[in-house]
Amino acid sequence: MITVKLYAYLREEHGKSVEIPFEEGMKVQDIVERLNLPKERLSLIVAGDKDGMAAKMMDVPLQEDMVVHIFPPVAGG
Amino acid sequence: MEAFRKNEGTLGKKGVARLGASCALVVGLGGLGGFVANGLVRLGLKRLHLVDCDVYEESNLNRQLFSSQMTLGKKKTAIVKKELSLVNPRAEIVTHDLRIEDMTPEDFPKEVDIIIDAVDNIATKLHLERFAEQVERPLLHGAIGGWYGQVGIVSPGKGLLREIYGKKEAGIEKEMENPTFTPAVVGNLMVAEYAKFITGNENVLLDRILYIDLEEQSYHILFGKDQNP
Repeated sequence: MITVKLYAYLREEHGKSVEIPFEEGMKVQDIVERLNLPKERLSLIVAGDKDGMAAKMMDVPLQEDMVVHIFPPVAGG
Repeated sequence: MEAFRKNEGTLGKKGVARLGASCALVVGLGGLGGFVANGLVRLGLKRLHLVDCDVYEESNLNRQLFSSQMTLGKKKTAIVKKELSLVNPRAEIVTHDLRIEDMTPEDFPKEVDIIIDAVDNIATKLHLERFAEQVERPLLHGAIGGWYGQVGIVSPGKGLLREIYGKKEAGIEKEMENPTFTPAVVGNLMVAEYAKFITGNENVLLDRILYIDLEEQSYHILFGKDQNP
């Protein structure tokens, strides 16, 4: 199972945390698409021990029991 | 100085001396900027440049440190200078009543060690990152929205903010706005990073981003590893 932790407005549809059955060959992009998350409103992603800009993280392969955090942009001051 | 002696236990005599010779340019005196300016003066910095062209408004009262019934309608730069001069009369506080877009690289005070991003929108943050590259200074970045915030120092040329924000127009602050506590927490985390940067502490968040969720008290440091995902 992959645990996906969502933050701020990304929680509106799915809540704070979603579990998705792991499938061989799964990538971050598969999760984003399955949850129908708006790619243009994602900022940073942590997937296991990898992290980075959301756009650059899409091809990161997932593993069983991985936790993925998906953060939207924050820009107030 | 007795005023800053209590910083020595944590930052060391040398660290406090380095801070006492340091100079910062704080851009934006809203929620973050007020706490950052306050913290820098209490760290005992030598000179503080403040950039903002706004006046205090009633809607600032929930979160902006120097907003009060007494300061409504008054220029933020003047009030912050007045209040912090009472804390440390030796701190040299220079006000710039303008938008950062109107400061040219020629106008930039060369003595500044680090530029501080306390502005409230993506377009200005991206401008500030380019400006910091032009004048070859690091940018101490902070951002807030709702329960969330992020902090990190961007080296000139790294373009971290360009990557993070891309073509986005706004972040979660648009919907969640800014509550009382988030600017105080994130602003003071920026002060801690300033202290680490100036004193040469290896734990400084250099080219890394700390993402904070105050609702669940979760904290993630990104870009901490030499990796290319």
